[in-house]
Amino acid sequence: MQKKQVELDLSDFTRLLDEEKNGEEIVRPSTSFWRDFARRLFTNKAAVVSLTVVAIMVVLSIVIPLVSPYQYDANNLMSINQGPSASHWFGTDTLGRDLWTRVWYGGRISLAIGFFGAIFPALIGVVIGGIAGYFGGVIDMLIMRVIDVLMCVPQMVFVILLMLKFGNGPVAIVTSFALIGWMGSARNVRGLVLQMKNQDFVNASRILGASHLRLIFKHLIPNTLGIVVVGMTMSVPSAIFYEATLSILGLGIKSPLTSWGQLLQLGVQNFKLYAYQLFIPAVILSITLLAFNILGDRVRDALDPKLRN
Amino acid sequence: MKRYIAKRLVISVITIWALATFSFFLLKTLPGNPFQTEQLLKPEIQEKMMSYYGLDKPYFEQYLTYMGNLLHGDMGYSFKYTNRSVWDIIMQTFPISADLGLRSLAIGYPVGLLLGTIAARRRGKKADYLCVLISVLGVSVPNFVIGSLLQWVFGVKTGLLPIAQWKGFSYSILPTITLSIATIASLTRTMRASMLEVENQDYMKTAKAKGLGEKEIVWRHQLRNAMIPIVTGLGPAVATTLMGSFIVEQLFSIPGIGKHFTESVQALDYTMVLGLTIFFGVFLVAANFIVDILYGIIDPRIRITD
Amino acid sequence: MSILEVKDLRVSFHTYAGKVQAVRGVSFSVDKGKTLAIVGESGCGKSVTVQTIMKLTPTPPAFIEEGSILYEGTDIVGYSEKQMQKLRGKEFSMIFQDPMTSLNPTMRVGRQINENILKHMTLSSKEATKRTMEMMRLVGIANPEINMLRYPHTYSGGMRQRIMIAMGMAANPKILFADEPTTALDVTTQSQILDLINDLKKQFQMAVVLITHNLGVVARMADSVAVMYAGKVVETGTAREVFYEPKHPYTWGLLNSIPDTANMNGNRELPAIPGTPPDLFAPPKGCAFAARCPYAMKACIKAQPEETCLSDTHKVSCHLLDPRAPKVEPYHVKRQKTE
Repeated sequence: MQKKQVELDLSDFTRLLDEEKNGEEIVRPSTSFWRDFARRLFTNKAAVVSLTVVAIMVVLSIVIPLVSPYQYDANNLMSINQGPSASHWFGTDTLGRDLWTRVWYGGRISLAIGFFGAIFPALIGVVIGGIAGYFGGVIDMLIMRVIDVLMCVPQMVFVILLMLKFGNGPVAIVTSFALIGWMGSARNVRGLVLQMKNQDFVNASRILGASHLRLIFKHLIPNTLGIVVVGMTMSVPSAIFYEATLSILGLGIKSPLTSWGQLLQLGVQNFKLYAYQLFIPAVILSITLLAFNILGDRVRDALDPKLRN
Repeated sequence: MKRYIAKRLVISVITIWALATFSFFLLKTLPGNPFQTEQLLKPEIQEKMMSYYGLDKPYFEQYLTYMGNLLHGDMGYSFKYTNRSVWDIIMQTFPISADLGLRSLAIGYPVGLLLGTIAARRRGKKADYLCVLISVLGVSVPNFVIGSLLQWVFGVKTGLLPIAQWKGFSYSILPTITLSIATIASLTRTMRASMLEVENQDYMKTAKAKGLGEKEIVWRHQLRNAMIPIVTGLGPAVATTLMGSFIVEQLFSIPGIGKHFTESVQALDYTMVLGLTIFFGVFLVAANFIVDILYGIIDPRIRITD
Repeated sequence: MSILEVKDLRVSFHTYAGKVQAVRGVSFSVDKGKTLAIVGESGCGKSVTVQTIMKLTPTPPAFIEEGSILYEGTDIVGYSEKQMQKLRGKEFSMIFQDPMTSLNPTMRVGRQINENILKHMTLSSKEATKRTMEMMRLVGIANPEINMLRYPHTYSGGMRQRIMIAMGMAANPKILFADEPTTALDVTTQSQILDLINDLKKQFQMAVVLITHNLGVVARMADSVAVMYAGKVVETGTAREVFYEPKHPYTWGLLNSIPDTANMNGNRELPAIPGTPPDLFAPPKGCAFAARCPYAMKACIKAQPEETCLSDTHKVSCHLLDPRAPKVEPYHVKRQKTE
């Protein structure tokens, strides 16, 4: 490396001025937190692939039902249980409905339940966890006890009970998820807020006379966003999965409306004779869940500064 | 430790009470009555049935009666299976679910722990990628897809194994595998993460600085500490698995407690739904309670502090 | 003859962003029964150097690029993991900075000490337990019969560091590496632990390599000193030489930043060395300290300074020692002026 001898002459032994020292040049460019996050996410092959898969699923679900010559709920008793063909790419079901159209219409419902079923619990969790962590004391204790109790509740059973109350539609499913699923993110947010609220940047702001609302919205919530985003990305696939489970049990989306779970329910009934009716939606659902799960992992890795390098 | 147990016990009792109360009133506010679904019944007979079961009394009175009976372990009678008490049905169906659950845990835990450990030890190598792939696939491919795929391959196409009912060992193979895959997947993931986390701890460096061999370090120092999060998750995991899987029991027509719950919900058999919900709750609470105590044994830091 | 001699050691970490040259040609030696202190600010490579000697840094990412590590005359750089295991704990021991996290939380402390004894000495388990208790008494823990059964979290930081020492000493090592052993402790405990290490050193004729950034600790413990900056030793010598006749501007800076309690009159501002160490992803071509050095010359950014031997023990790498360089005021003169 620096083994080779550099010849020095007398002129080299003169004092350097400060400007000549070139001391603290910044070698690595400084970037903002979110830009750094995006860079790390988009340089990861698995993340890009799964993001692409998710995007394709979303686009197909939006576009196909619009451009398809078939209606998702149009029965055609002349062409029932036909295998995949040029006119019906995914075949038809027992009522002669076009499965290509139904799969992507079902995708709309399933993906929507996935997104909203992840966002609403997270939002509730942020609010409740933020209140508990920020105000502390009795409020915190009460909220934490309620969470303790709710964590011991069998979740699937309660989602089912709540759906008995609210009905079978997508809105009922998302509402049930929102009421049952907020405890995890509430706990995380509370922990973080507790940790942060006595840190100097918050104290400084408080001393300068910032209101509770300003402290919460300007300082505390932006700093908990990372963990909430990770939680949300991770719970999209589980919301989609729970919807499918409910529908397969016959407790979720009901025909003629459809979702991936509902398609699977019909598929299970017929799969001994018409395996494609089960396996096509099963493959689509599995690929989507796989993509979301990998994406969730990568988002977590990209957001967690501890895992840098 | 005694105070800790007492505190946990009080929380457990409150949880069960809250659960029972909430479920009771939730079910009471639901529209319809269980006798509507049997469309053969005339309105007069429906009313008679309602008063026979005490369903025409004010909610609060019904609640007090129900809770009083519950204290004696009496959960009332099923509407759908006439003349059979909810408790009878639980006692009949729970062992089947627990049997299936135990089998799948007996496969899932060792395999999951092993894969997770291998993945962490061989981090970044082929074996690691393989284990991670297995676990991501296991988490992502829903159990009904795996189950029906197994049914299709081993039942429909080759006829090697029965795909429905619960009549003997050969009937249990496919549902056990289906149910254990989720356990394997999630345990592999947790164990791998936990092993890697422990690997970065300072005391691992201390152990290495003592001159211990690789095996001694892994067995004496790494595994025990890596098991702590596994044990914490054990309670809910075991409880949910033993309580039966709604999906697997439905898919393989296994007369377990999960399948009965699904059917009761569909039939609006409220006493069954309520009874099973409370049973699930008690079971889960008890499992969490036991695990909390176990946790104290494996991690000495907990014992004194709380 | 020195028991440990490190010659021109270079260690790099291979990361996805490139190679970090953490140690860039470090040489020093330690004699039996003596203490060498390695001094420098955080990130200067002092811990990496020591952990490399015991091969505790995982490979990858850390690689020894060059150099030799002579233990009792034998080069151990090429030693296999198996051979190293025989040295670790038996010949070399190590105490880490944070006693809170360096003990296994789920294992009784007695067993953690015992483990070392059983590994390296041919003793029955009964004898090993007896020795465990002896070691605990030696480091000042009374009632070892009871205390060996406790878990680490029930001990204070100072007591845990004692246990770490007992563990390190259990198999009679020839060299004890202490990586900032008192940094995480409060001041009164610090001096007890230092005394303990000094006592044990004398009692067992053990060599000690002490890593620290605290010059007070150095003055109290060290027979010789190596000052490190940005992965290199810039000045090394006996404690007397380094403290009373320092020649490197970085050493001057360090010595200047010691609070002087004897002459405190409240007016003297504590001088700091301005600036930060260079990024070791791309170390500078010349002297790494040039950017922060008040005496920097053109030569300093052009070429690395050669090592100049001022005595058998005192070696300095600085262009100021070149005969062509302008004379600057030596440190002790400077210091007296400021006071």
